[in-house]
Amino acid sequence: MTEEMMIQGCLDNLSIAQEALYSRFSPRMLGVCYRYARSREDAEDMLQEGFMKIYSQIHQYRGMGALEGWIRRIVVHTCINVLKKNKKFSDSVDLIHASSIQISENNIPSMMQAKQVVECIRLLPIGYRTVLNLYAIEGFSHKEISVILEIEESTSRSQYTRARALLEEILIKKKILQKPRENIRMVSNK
Amino acid sequence: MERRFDMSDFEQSLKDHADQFTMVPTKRIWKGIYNNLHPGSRWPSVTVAIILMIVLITVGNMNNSPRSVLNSIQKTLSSSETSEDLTMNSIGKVSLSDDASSQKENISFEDETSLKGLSQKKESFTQLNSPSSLSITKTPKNSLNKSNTVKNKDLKDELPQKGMQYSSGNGMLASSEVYPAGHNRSKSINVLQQKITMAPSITKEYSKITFYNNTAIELQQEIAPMSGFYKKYISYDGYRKNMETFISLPFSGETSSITIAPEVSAVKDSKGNIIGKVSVNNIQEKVTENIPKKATVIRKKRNPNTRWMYYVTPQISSVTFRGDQLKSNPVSGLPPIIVLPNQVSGNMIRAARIGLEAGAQMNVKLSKRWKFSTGSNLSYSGYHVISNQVHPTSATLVLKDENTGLSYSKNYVTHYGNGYSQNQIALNNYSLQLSIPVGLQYTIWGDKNIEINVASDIQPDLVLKSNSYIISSEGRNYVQDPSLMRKVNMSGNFGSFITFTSSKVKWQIGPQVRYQLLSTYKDNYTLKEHLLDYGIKIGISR
Repeated sequence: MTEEMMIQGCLDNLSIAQEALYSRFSPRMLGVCYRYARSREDAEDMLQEGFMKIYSQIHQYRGMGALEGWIRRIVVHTCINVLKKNKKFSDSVDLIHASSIQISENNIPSMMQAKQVVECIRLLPIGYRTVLNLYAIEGFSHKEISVILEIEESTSRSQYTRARALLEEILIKKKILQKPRENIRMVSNK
Repeated sequence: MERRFDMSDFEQSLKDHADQFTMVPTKRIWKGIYNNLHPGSRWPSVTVAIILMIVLITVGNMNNSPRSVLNSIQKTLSSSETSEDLTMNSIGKVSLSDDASSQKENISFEDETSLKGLSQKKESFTQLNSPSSLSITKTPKNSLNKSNTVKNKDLKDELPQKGMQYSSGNGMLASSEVYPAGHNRSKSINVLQQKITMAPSITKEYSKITFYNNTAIELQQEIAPMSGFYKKYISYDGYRKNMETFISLPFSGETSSITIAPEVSAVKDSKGNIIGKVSVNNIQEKVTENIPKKATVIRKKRNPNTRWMYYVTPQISSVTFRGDQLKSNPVSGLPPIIVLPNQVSGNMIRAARIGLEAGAQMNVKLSKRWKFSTGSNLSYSGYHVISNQVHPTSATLVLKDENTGLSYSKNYVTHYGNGYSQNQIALNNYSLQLSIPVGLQYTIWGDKNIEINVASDIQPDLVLKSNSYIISSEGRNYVQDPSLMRKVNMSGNFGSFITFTSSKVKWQIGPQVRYQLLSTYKDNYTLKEHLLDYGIKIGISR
């Protein structure tokens, strides 16, 4: 089923098209949710809520840009809203205390590299993680992040800096990142 | 810095790896989405069951209403007019005689039954327990002979299969069953009057004749083998002990136009020839006494003093506040000060919402004007609090210890407040309550078709589900605390309505006000919130 057919089917409230859309994009979107959520269950709840929004707002998709990108934006915003609603974000957004978190080797799971990276991201405090996800992976600017998370732009910058440093430390401990003299580059299995 | 590296490379690499990461969601998620997208198919079995129940109740009510019974009987009668067939499985040995002077029931049964005027008809007579036909016509008492008899032996040889009718001369049909005397006579008379109009249905429903007479007892043994006949009466407890005294002339259900009128006095064949007589001086009295019992059986299904009504009330839900709220004084650390209610509520921007109430109500007539009402009621009401999404902030509630009376504060983290924000949000405060209203109705004015009533009741409420954002003691933020919510409440309801009858349905329409008597919150939160609903009640009953 092509994207056009799926979109039209969703507009017509056809369950076949809705399921096709879900089947195509849900695995990747669940991966997105998983980076923001505390647990897989939370991620699945986010995914469900996100797809409900997608189906209800699909008429707003004008075909400008990739469908996956549009879906991803909705899912990310849903994740942020869920975090806000559950106060998980606000409870752990204090970076001063987060910087003292100790990362041990045992905390880092040994998995395939993509999942390893994601799991390492998930080891970050949720405040760090959210800013890192939004800035480094989703491509939002600090100004946009400040609006989304209702924080100062400078706070977003400092959060990201600290998050990246902490992630770097984790990745090095897991030997996903090598530490050259000048640059640290991520090791890829490719 | 020690860990300097190419940021774009780091971010790109991080993004690449993160984007490659996929997870397979469980089926539960799609089921949840599907159920939300297509709610109509979520509970197909429940929907079908509800529809089926409604249909069954409706059909049941229609079938049991006197009007519909009358209609069906009229149809039966009209059809039976074209058919003279009345089959008789067994008549035993019967002698019907008239003894006006004795003033005593005198339906007698004899071993030798004769049918006068039928002897010419030789064909198609039946044996005992085989179908046969009777035509019994009521004639005025005065014109009856006193000693006509119907002999079963002759009947066997001479009765035609068709042409016997049993009818009432004055058109007043009575039950085909005659029960022993001893019932409440005055009540019976009342019912008899109704019975007259309903009688045709009874002839259909009870396709047999039952005579009760002391003289019949001795023939019981001959008729007793028709055990199937007696099953009909087993459910009537009041007659069980008298069953032995019944003597029955059952007829098949298909040809069920047999009745006994109060003044039944003769048995005729289809040509009008008198083939037997029924002379029972007391029969008028007896029928008068007995028919009501039969009619009572029918009317058991509907008590005229009790009426069920099903209603729905679309309503506008709002809220009122009473009492004072304890307010903390963070600067001085002094004991909490009291702020006026209007100051607190003034900080809260509220918006009414649409609510709904539905339920079933039983009205029991107490007197001409008063009715007692009870039932069950499901109510959904609430309101919106217009708030802003703010940066997570701390909010405080000052609560009162119910035991000691001392105040204490409780802190919350909230995203909602009256601070500046571009994201305005409507917080949903609602309550879903199941209640059992108990109250009274008074009829101000009315006649058969239209009435004006006022009603009031109180409703103990069980709060099934609720959500409430409470304004903090600073009056700036909204916090949630389910532990402060009451699980049981009490509401008062007042309304007036107009009742009118449209075809078979009785409608009730009118305004009502519902006020929650106890606060939504427990007593340790000193600001009292009372839900207030204004609605239009629309009720229907049969």
